[in-house]
Amino acid sequence: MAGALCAVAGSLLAISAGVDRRIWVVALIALPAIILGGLDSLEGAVIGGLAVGVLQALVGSYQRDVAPWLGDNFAVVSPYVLMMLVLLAKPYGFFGTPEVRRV
Amino acid sequence: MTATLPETKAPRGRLRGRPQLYRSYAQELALFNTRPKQVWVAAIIVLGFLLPFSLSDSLLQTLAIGFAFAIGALGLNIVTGLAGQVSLGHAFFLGVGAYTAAAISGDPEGRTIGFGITNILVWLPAAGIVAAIAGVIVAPLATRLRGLYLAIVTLGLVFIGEHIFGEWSELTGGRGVGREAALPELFGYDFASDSESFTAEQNVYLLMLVLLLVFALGARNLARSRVGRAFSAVRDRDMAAEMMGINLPRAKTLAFGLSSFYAGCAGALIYSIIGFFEPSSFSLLLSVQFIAMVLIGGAGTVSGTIMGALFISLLPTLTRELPAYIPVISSQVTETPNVFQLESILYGLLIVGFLLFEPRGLYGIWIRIRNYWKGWPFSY
Repeated sequence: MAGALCAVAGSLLAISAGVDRRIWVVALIALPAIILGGLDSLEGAVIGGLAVGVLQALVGSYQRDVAPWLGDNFAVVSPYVLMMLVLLAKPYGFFGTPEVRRV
Repeated sequence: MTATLPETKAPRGRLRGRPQLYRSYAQELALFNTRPKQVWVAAIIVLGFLLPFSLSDSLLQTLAIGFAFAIGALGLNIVTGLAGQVSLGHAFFLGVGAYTAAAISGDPEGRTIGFGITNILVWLPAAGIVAAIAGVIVAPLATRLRGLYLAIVTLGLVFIGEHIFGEWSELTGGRGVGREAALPELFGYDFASDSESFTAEQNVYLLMLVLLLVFALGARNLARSRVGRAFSAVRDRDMAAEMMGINLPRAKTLAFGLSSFYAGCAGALIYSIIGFFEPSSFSLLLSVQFIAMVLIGGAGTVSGTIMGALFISLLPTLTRELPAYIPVISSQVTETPNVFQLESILYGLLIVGFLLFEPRGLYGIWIRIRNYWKGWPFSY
């Protein structure tokens, strides 16, 4: 299942961006996406993925005017910054179920 | 006549031929708790000090870098092996340390930030402390997260660090350009250049050996102290540890801080041997290398971690020799089955192989050999 979905995502991405050998870095962006939504939640994964994608696009187009001191290509790391901020407030992401701690 | 009371003080000597028998708590907790251990450690140290007089300079430099990597691996061992917190962010702390040291020792007139204080006694602790502060800043995340969440957050740290290092070109020289590293100098004695009696490589090797000894002793002492035992309790079951009165956030913060201190020192040292570095060095790959060292060596043990670090840093030297024996493998980057591909495949295979077949790492192999000979000729 995971492999099949990944392959779909990969080919969709390849249509828009083209393929090279460094494409595996993109796969790591999926990690903040699922963490944002919560690891065990399906709707969380969808919303997290959308949030990361939209954030990247927004930061990519506006950051140069709003906050140029952050440097070029800040869009690439913005999902990680967002992930850290969210996890500080909600350790299991937005839709993840908190782990039951039993002695 | 009154009967004399038996001696209440714990006996101090060890019984011959009974290596498992501890007659007092202090004995079990001793730094080198058995005689053979004392003898072997002393022998290895002596051997280490004799090596520079018989090995070639290039091999010595490889070993010196291996020692510096071992210091960093000891740091990762504190947080991952002892305290059980997965950290993929080691490369970030290494970078913080390396840049702190480079900035302190750098040329004030140069292209990049520099304060011109080249004394190793200044830049080494400073590199460690700045990295430790970075570790403590990250720790609030670490104390609230566990397992996979923590691994991915520390992974994010590496990417953010890479971005900062790449953009802050006054400090780092910028992407693809880089800057000169810290200068290993002690009260006017420059380790990086030839002196009357030693070559530069011998100098650096001896310096790294001494520093590794200091750091390894520190790590070993930490492991047997109150703090170290608290770390082990947190690793084995954090809730049980909390029940026993261990302050969980404090223990985790301390683990991250100490580990980052080691990483910072290691970063400063590694690049002071190489002499030059650029921001893309501190990528995810470096973190994975450190994890490989700790896992292959044996998580939670000092000797195993050092073995693992030396093993991984000597691996390229070994694989470079392969084309001479196996004609299929080429030493050219352009031809397809080449040494560099083989190297990265080997990393992966080694990690997977060790996790599957010997989770305790090289240290575990040693334990198995020891147990075999202890019971010899019986099977147990």
